[in-house]
Amino acid sequence: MKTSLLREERLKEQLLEFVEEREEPFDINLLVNHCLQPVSATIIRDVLCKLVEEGKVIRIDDQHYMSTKVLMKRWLRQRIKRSEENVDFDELEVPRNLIEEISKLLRKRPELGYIDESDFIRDAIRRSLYKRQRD
Amino acid sequence: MPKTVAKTEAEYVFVKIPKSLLDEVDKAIGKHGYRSRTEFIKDAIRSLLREYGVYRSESE
Repeated sequence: MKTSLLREERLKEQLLEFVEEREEPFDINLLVNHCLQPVSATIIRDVLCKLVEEGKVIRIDDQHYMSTKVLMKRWLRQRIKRSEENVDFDELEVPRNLIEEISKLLRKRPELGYIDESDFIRDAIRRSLYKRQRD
Repeated sequence: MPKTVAKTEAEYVFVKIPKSLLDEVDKAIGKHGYRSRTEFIKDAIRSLLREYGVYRSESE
């Protein structure tokens, strides 16, 4: 257990270093291919999610920093859009005043990394479901 | 912004949500005493807005 935690911490550090030095968009497969030791895409994905959850900040250049959440969402956006083409959606009514509250928040705090109001709503639903599963 | 529909009391907006996520919501509705998907989702949105400090107290 202790060993796997240590490995995870090391992998986190290595991924952060690697991601900081990247100038081009990347995806999970590129990270898998650049690992010196064999690591599965699932482990890399989990570690990236943990970095995002921990709110890690990445240095873009000498003056600019960005949270891993914003960075991942920007770089992986095309991939997310492509993957959404195969997803079935349903429409749901949401009061306009709530949508306006969300829009205001997204304009005020772009660092939160939400692409749009729908993205925020999906995150809210997932968090709420997760919270209820835990309780 | 998505298309809107006028209702008697409030104006609503249609938002696209993955069906798989709504299936999970449907399962949770009965268990946790919500009357509809919309009620669950409104509660979830308010809760996350509160988390980001949009609402300072329970009252909106």
